[in-house]
Amino acid sequence: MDIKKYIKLLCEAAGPTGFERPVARLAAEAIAPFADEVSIDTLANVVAVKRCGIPDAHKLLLAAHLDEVGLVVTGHEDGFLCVGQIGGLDPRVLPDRDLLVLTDPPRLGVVCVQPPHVLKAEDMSKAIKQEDLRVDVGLTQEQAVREVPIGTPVVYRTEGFDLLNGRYVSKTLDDRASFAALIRVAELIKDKKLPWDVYFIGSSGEERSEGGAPAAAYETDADVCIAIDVGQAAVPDSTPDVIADLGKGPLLKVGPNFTRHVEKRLTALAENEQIPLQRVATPGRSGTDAWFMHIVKGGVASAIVEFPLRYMHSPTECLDFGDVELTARLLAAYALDPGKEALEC
Amino acid sequence: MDIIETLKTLNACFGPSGCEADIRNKIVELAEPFADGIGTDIMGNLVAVKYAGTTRRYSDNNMNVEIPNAPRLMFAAHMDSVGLIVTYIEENGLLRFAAVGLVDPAALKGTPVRFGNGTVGTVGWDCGAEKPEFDSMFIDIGASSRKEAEKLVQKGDMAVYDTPTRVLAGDFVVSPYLDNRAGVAAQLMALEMLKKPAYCCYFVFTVQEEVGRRGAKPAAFGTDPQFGIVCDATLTDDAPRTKHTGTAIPGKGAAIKIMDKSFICHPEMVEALKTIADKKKILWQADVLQEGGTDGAEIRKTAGGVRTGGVSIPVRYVHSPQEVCSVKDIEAAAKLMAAFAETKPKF
Repeated sequence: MDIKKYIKLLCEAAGPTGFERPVARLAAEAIAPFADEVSIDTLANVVAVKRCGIPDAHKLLLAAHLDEVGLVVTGHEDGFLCVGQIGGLDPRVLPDRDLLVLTDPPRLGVVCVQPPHVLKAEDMSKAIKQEDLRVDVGLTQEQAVREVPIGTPVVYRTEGFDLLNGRYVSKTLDDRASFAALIRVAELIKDKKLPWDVYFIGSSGEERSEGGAPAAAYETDADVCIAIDVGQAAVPDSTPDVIADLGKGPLLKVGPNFTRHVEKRLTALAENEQIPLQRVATPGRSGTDAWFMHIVKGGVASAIVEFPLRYMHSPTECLDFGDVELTARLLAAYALDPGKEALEC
Repeated sequence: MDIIETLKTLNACFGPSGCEADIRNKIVELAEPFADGIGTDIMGNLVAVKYAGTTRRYSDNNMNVEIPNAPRLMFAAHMDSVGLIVTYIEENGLLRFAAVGLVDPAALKGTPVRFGNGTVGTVGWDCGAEKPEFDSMFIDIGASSRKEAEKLVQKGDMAVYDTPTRVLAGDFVVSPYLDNRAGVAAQLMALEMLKKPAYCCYFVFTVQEEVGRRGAKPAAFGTDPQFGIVCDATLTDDAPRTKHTGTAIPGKGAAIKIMDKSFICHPEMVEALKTIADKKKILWQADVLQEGGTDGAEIRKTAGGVRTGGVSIPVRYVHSPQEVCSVKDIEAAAKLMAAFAETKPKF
């Protein structure tokens, strides 16, 4: 499978939290050839199922979120757009960026910034604050108010490109590259005998709220939930607690909110399949869909598998294709052979 | 039940949030003789049930047994504790760590700790650091290389305080994790005392309270109660220069919860607990807490809503390796919970 094709297709689409449906349609279409059933639910979750054929089978749910961080128009000032955040992005990466303003049809915009020539010396070293950011769409005040109403979402606009050694840069690799990994999982298990039904969820709302994943876990009545997301990879000025490296294999989160038997099984399978695994201690809130899926109904066995990512939530996130492939293989191995405990719970 | 012996037994168990198997097994042992049934849910919550009237078995896959004509009451005491989790192992064998739950780094210097597999160590610190922070601290298990350390401890392994339980003057004890082993002891004692329950009583020992009240919600979903009582430690108001964020004082009785930062108790539950305490001459005080949350917040929101109150035990120096509380308060809390469970609800 050419996974880059799927990553490019999904990541370059626009779908910030709350406005995911167009991306959900693309994702549903992309996974359809590998699934028995595909639908999009009320909250814009993609729900694709691979059936095992066993009556009253147990259910594995693999969830990767399809929404992305973005901005939202909060007002107009002399034709420039004032913007607030959807999800957590760093205002320091925004000045001078080209953005896509999601009117119908979408239009381009650019983030205003003072040129260095006119900046005061003391302002040179200061980061611009979110509330001071303006987006220029080339309109007068009157036009802007009419054509770009308050509430219009705005997203990054990056075409993906390759770096050397199998590294790839794009916006929204968090977390649509994970959904591409799920398509790869679906391909790997397509003609295999499954011990349970496998649900592939392209979840909504992860960046902003409890999101769509717990609703999908509730609705599908899953027995084991695994969130597939991205983890911080070390960069030159990382703090010592960022210990994962790009290109060194998937990350397994370990900590209070993960179910022991799933964690153990994933570790054992990685060893069998010779997949290098990076253990990352997670003392509390994991910041992924698993945090909420875990306590749906009477509790659901949960885990998080991630691949390392550099420059998270920026317009130029960076991954390693090798990590994505290994993540998919690990999940496929688990889907095929989850062990006794998972099938008895 | 000998409260001090029970506290010692519980303190010898391992049970940081997410790794409650050891303490759960011990509580099963202590609760089983007095319960009509006992089971564990997917999250790891332990449920000991005592039925009103007819006895029916509570088993793992039988969470929603309906007992006719008896309202359902869920007691909840969290059995997990805060802890430390290994994030990185240095070349020289020292272990970097983060906190599981809320831990004040200032309380950690020189604290003996132990891991689930029995490995012991102490919390060391960087002498050049200006103030105590996790970044400048480490666990020293005596290993002199990463390789040696990794034979005993892996990234993601958790450690707990390895300080003992000791009897102080009066009725006071010092021990780590009185938050919430004091509540667990009180709930075990209430279960033991309970002779004629007016409710179908679920004594739930919850998991993962310290990392965001994670266990209580699924436990309440499973037991589907109409009434809830949370039994947890509460902050005290008797330290020098107190800011009066709490009202409870150790030794002054069971603290009837009125509110904490996570929820406000159902007024009818507060009234019922006060009335029953007065009638049974159980020493009580009001617990109004402006900081900190409890499992009650999650139980209250279950299904169409659950009338939820609380019986707290005032504990000094909460989350430190040396917490202090009064044994008499634990006893009073146990008596009050048992008396409540034996009194028919008026509402």
